[in-house]
Amino acid sequence: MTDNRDPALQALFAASEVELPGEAFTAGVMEKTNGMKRRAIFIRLFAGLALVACAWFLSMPVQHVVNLLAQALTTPLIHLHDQLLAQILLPLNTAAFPVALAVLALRRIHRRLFS
Amino acid sequence: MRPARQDFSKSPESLVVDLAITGDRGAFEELVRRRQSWIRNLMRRCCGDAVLADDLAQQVFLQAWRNISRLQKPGSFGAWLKRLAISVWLQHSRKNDALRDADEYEGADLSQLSDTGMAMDLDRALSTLTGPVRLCVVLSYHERMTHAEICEMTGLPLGTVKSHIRRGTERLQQILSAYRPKQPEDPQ
Repeated sequence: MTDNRDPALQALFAASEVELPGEAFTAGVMEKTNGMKRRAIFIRLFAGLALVACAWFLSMPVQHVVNLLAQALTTPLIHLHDQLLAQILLPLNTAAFPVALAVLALRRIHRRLFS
Repeated sequence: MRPARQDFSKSPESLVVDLAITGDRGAFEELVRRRQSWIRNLMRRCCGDAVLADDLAQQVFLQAWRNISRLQKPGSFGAWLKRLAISVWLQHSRKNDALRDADEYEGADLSQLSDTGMAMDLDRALSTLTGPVRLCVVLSYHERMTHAEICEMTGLPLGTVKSHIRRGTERLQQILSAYRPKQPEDPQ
């Protein structure tokens, strides 16, 4: 079948399309857009306040957790008595190193499975 | 310089769309005024209910207002609006399961055909089609879209679009036969 249409039906569709008066409809749409604008402002204001409140309440605990994590990750896994050797091996001799290795391995597995 | 609000009626649509994209409410109001009849008629053909059609058309324009800043080409405003209208209609159909209330032609009451207006008869005939068939027929006959365009716009496969239009056309031809031009009678 091609895109050809039945001319009689086509004429019927064309004749059925009337120009509808639009003042009331347009006014209704514009009134609703006003409501949308007010709602958007209210939502943004509320989201901003919620963000500030969250930052206020969570800043201390979050900072505490970050400090604990930093401490835990930089703790040497093996205590070396030689200070120089300890300094040289510090990047490998911390909890962060196996964690980083695990993350890299998981990333590689994820890529192999899903890409 | 920005045209005064009352001047929008004489401005080319691409300019009005440009202004609406920047958030000008007066320009958007002018666009609603210009396009409302087209969208409301399209929705009336789709759903066959003037009140529901106006409600859906209003949703189309509200979505347009919400998203007009994303419109890249002001010249394609009409096509963009049509796409929004179809999307609103499809969402409504899915939500309300348009297939459920569609009648078969055999079950439709056609006794009062031609007693009411032509548009009402057409809407009544269209309401006997299932949702997807009706949408394809309306887009083909009301919007004069090609099968490929309908396929692209609705996401339906081309074969399905073709068969929907063929079936819908056959049904409408049967139901609306009273409107067909009379064939000259055979002299014998």
